[in-house]
Amino acid sequence: MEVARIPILQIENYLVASIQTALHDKAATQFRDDLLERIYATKARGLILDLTAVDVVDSFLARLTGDIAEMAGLMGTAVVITGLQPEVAITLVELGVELRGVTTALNLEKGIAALRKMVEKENTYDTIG
Amino acid sequence: MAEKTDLNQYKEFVKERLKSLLNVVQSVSSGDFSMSVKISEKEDEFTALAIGLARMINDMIEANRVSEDRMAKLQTVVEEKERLLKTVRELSSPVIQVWENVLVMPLVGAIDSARAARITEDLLTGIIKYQAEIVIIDITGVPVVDTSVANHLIQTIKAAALLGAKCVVVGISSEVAQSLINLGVDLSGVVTRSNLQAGVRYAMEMMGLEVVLKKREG
Repeated sequence: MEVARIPILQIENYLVASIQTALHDKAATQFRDDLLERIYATKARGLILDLTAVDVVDSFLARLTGDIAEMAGLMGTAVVITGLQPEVAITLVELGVELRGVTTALNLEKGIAALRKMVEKENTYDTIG
Repeated sequence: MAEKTDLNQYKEFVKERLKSLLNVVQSVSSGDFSMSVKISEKEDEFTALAIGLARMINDMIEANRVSEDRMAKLQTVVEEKERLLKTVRELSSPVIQVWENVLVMPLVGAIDSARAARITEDLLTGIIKYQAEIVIIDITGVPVVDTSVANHLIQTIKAAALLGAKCVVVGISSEVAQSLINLGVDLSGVVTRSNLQAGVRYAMEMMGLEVVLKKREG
């Protein structure tokens, strides 16, 4: 069965993926694979995962989100998660999921600002090194 | 023959009196106190019964009135209490915007798990509502911070961080600091400042703002 794919958009050298529907496990893993492939293909410096429309997160999706952030980090892409809903945040904390090393922001605008800051920092390190 | 008619007449009389008394008893038993017992002017075998019944019904009416009064009083007391509880709940987790994207949540009084859940919820909705980046949690007014309160606080801070807001805890008294260390609570990931002023200063710094003394003329 074909799973609905989540569109991944590119702005400048950032990728933006907005999850609009409830993700089943299969669609979620598909999404992860797509995302990593796109990061590899585009050599994006940053990735924004927008979860504004997500109102239920189970432990699988929570872990997957953390995994995506870590994997993308390994590939040299900074990850910012935006638009987490209060209920989702409470659920994640209660599940004991810690999104270590993941930056979060209130909305897409602030997410892009945070991403710019992170990438700029890296650039200055690059020039120093 | 005459004896028999007398007996029949007496039967009729008894029947009639009993019927009138029974009517009253029936209506009273169904909660209707509008009928009253008719006491015949001429004294007969039923007079004592009728008087007794009338007294009993009067007593019942009185008792009924008293209990209705009490119910009404109780009702007002309950309503009053509910209003007070609502006020307390509203006051229990205030979220105040002190600057653009900076919130303050002053906590006063003991925190139990129900209140802690409410605090978390109100803080997170406040963050969304005011688009906050920094939240100053003032616990000056919290008398006791035990492991569960500390854990609730840490959970709230983590949840706020997931939304993209940074929390600063201010107003930790010496007793609270001692008890937290003695309990072995790990607050290493939590930013703390001495008081609200220091918290506001931290927020200003984080936002890239500075408070400068205005030059006075003359």
